[in-house]
Amino acid sequence: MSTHHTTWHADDGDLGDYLAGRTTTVLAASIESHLVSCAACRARLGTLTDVVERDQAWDRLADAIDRPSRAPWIVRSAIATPVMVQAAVVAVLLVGLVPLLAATAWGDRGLVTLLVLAPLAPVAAVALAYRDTSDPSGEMGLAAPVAGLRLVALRALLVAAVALPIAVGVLLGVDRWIGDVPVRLAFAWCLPGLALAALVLLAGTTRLDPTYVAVAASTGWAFLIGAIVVAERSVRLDLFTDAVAGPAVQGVALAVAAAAVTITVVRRDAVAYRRTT
Amino acid sequence: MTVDQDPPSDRELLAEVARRDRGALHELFVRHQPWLAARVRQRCPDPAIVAEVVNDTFLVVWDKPGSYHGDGEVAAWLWGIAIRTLLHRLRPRKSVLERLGQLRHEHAPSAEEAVLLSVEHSDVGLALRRLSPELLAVVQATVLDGLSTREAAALLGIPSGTVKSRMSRARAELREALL
Amino acid sequence: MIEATDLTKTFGRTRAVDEVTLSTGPGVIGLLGPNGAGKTTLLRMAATVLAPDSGELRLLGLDPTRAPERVEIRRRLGYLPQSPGLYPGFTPYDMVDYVAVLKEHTDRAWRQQEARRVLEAVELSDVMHKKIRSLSGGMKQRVALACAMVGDPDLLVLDEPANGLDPDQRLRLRSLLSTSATVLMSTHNISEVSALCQRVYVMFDGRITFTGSPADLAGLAVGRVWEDERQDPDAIRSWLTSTGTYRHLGHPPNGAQVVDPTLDDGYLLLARKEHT
Repeated sequence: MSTHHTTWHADDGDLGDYLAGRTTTVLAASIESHLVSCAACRARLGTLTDVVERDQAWDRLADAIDRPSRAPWIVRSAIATPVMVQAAVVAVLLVGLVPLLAATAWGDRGLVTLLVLAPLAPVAAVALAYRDTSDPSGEMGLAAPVAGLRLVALRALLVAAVALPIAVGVLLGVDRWIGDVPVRLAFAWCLPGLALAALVLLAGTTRLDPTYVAVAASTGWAFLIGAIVVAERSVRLDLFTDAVAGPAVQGVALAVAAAAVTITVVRRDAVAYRRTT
Repeated sequence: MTVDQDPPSDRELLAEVARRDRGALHELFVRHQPWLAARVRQRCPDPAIVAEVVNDTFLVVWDKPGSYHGDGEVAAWLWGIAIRTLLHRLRPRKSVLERLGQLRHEHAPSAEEAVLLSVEHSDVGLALRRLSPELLAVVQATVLDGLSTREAAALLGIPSGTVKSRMSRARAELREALL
Repeated sequence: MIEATDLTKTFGRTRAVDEVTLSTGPGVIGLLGPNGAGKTTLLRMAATVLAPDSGELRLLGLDPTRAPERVEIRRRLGYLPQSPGLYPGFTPYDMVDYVAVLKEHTDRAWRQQEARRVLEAVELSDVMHKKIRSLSGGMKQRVALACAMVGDPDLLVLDEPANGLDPDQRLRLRSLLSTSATVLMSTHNISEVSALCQRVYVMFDGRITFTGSPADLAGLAVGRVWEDERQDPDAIRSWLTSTGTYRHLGHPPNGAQVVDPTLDDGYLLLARKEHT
């Protein structure tokens, strides 16, 4: 704090001159130095300045402060909060890490685990997109024109777009460092994953909770794989691959996926109403 | 919101700004924008630059209210930001080192500044008026605006050594005129 | 603006909304009733968030059960649900901007201007950049109200909008709502009805039991309210007033000091009828 306190105050005439740039450097310096510690004189200077100019300056500042988010509005309507992004990333990491660990620990059996879990990435994506906590606007969002299938689909796609590269990366990593992953196996999970995800999507148009459907579908898929392993009596990778990557499983997966997506689109209005009953 | 008897002090307003109170920022703006703009205008006549400097100053207030450490007047802190903003606008810095030294200067009132307060009709005023324009500019930059030697040199476009020598000449002349 | 005929919605074995018929024009219409009367369910149908099980509903002249018309209704609709579910990590400004995005307003500059407009209307300009979790309950309610008002909707559906507002703010709510739009609001608080509404529907157990102006509701109890220094056991209801006398509702005995009825009196009489 200043140790000086003077009773000298700049008078209005001096202030006016100062504002008009008519004062000498020395007087200006004197006034300026005084203004730094005298609120009263600052206020008086304020009364002598143009209010319109000040308000325009404020508008300019406010424009910088009141900044709408720069993200394109379509992205914002889909992923608006850190919570949504976090949940998606966590789910995806789990899907990626667990099979990796399994493959490291159990070799071929681990690869089976991988095959079981990889399709769940898209499933998780869709289930997450349906969660009530996914929308930061809560019930208000349900009355918005954008509500419904479009929003859910957008969110699922965005999460899946993160999940897929990770799943593929895990597979490639396992292939490179741990053991051979036949190419057909590496991608044999795509269509089944799509089918499972489409089923969860369809569940959202009914009264069933998509989360439960996701869990059920995942368990069903695990059982299917288990059944194939038992039928082949061993975990011989090539036979196993033939079974899963074969036309039977893949064909059924494609058909289920196509049917589920079509029915969902037909019933898309039901998505808008589902969450409030 | 409770209504106090006295209007809030600048420090209280700044504390509210730290809590993202837009109204507090507006109040600070109303109180300080006029004199800040006037003072910047004295050093740079271009109205566009003046408006930009004042705008950027208040943006710093909004984004980094914590950089006011509670010592000295808020007004002094504001001027410190404004003059450095002006400096960097007029003479864009090139070295990273200069950038690092940016916001760490406090504006503490010096003895010279204390004297300048009521200078108009005093002997010191008369003495100052007799200084040459170059010496006066250096005094203004270092004493009044609180710039460091390096910063003053950048603003005036002269070497640091020249700033130092002119400062000592100014001091010598002032002392002679007063004694 | 809202035309409902025999609207019904059943949950399990309960008829939450039981053959409700109502017809409104512009103005503020109040839906008054106790908790569980079905007000929220009815409002959800009016906000196109819930589909009726049977009956006809037309909002702004359009049919909400048809998808393209529903989208059009939603473009001109503002909804304040009972639990707004505001995201605590957003600021009021973010929240309003997000709702504007959901309402398909793609112009960033327009959104900025509109956000300022609605936040100023609910007097939250000073705190618009504070996180919602740091605001009081009344402020949060005003944020939700601002979100409902984005885009100046023709139809406003508000579920207990005065919740958490003090009398001063409620007065301001009145001027906020007095636009040319249709406002359908619910409340279980009688004083809000007299303060805010031009028309009132009283709802008990899913059915509408009264339609009219607030004055008409009070008028139901004309000649049925009297005051005495002592309690009268024959009265339907009686209670001690702040002036020390007893106020009675029912059939006044001869010579009783009959007084002018208030809105509470009319409502209580109606409620009593429902439970006998």
